[in-house]
Amino acid sequence: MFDFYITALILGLCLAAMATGIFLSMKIFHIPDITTDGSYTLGAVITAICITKGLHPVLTLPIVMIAGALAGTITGIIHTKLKIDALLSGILVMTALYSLNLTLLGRSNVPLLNVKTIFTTLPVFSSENYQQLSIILLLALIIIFSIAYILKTDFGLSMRAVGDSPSMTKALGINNDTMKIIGLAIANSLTATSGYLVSQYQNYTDINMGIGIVITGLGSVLIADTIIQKFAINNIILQLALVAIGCIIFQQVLAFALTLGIDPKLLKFITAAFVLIIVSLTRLTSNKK
Amino acid sequence: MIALNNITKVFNAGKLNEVSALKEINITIQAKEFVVIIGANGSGKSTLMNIISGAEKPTAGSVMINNQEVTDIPEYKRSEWISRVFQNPLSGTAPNLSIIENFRLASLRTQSKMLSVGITEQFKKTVQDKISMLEMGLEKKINLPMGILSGGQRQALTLLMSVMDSTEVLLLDEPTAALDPKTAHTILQTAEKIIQQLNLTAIFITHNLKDAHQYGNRLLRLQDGRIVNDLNKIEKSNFTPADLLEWFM
Repeated sequence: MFDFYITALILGLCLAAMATGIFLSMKIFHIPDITTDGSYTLGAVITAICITKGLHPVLTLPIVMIAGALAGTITGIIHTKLKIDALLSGILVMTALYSLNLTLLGRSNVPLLNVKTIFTTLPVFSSENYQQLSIILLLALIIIFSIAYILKTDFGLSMRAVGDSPSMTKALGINNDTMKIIGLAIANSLTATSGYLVSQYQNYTDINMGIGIVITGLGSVLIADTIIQKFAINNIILQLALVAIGCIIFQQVLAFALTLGIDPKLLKFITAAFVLIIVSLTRLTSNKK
Repeated sequence: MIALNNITKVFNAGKLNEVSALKEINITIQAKEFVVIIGANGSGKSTLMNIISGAEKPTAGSVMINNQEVTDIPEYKRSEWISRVFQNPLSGTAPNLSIIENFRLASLRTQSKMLSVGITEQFKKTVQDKISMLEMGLEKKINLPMGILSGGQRQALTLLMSVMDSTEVLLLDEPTAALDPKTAHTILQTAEKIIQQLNLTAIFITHNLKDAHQYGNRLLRLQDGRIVNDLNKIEKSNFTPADLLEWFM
């Protein structure tokens, strides 16, 4: 029983990178980026290929991140240069990635048993749970602090301003298109990182594992956003930490639903319903103001 | 120096709603001139401003800045010479960024934005000193989000932001249209002070004939996409706001 919630906690932290990516695209650039579903699986697919071929899991990570960044770059170029709606650009790239992922993986499912993973590279704790938890916690902290640092730099300020006031940034010598492309590249690189982590945590890569993952990320960001708005939190590190916490809450709710004996087949349905509840609650409460 | 040569701008060419916003405009604005532009709604004032800033491309003709042709240079690159205060106080600032973060970006208008944290204690001090010149008490609020300030406060800060980095040309597109008379006065007084101190070339669009009379050393009037009056400093001083009003009757 307790293990059940630990699993949800670790899974939540694995997905925190993706949620941070959604936070960048959604809250900073106001772009609903559906590429996420494809780049998440892409991360998992590349992880499976690399580590089954014997490449060290730590060396696999940069490859995964570059692949994710490329996917985001393509969406960004389609959106900004071909002037295609952001939502459609993401759907196009996501659809194309499905075939690419299947071709790269060769089949629909690859187990990652008996291979060295990021969780078994540096054994510190004898308990498997603690071992996984410590590694994932460390990685989540590195991600949160590095993204928070980037957002505080002059470059990061420009990124945040592009989504906030595009007319201002153009007058301040900032190329909005380039900024959006870079932003989507970073976001999808983070999403691919989550695919990398989850595939190693679950010990398999599945071609369908990305379906609907963008909703999970969105739900986590919305949970965080509700808290950010309620307490008017301006500190960017706190905001990103809340996104990770949002992810954990989300997974805990799903875990709780499963312990109630709900059919796992209904999990995506519950996910969608839960996100709908968060969205409508935030809408309804903000209307009262 | 800014020169517009045979500038024509047609919107929706070939369609029923075709509009010729500017018709063969030829004008040279010398360095350090403070040009006021007046004209009825739809006379082409804002289009002229947008052609200079690069927000709009002319249908025909060329734009020169300092004897360099810039017709095809996009707005974000022209910001090397030009800074701009918009009519809408919300356009020139980022609401979710703090005041100090807005100023930091403004201070890098002509420079690249690096991966290093530029908001230092010293930078904060410099900005606070500048903001205190407005006497609005905003220097104590630099860490608050820009979005919580009033339109007037934001416009006043936009004006200061526009000269945070070196600039040659300051474009003021009805900067006080949305503001109360007192705030409008503060902003224009500050603008005049800044323009003189920094020896800027300035172009100021206004509907307020009193302001058109009081500020600037050259007055242009646009009508139906053409320049119909061009008064120099002495000619301008012979006109009263009442005379200017006659033009619109």
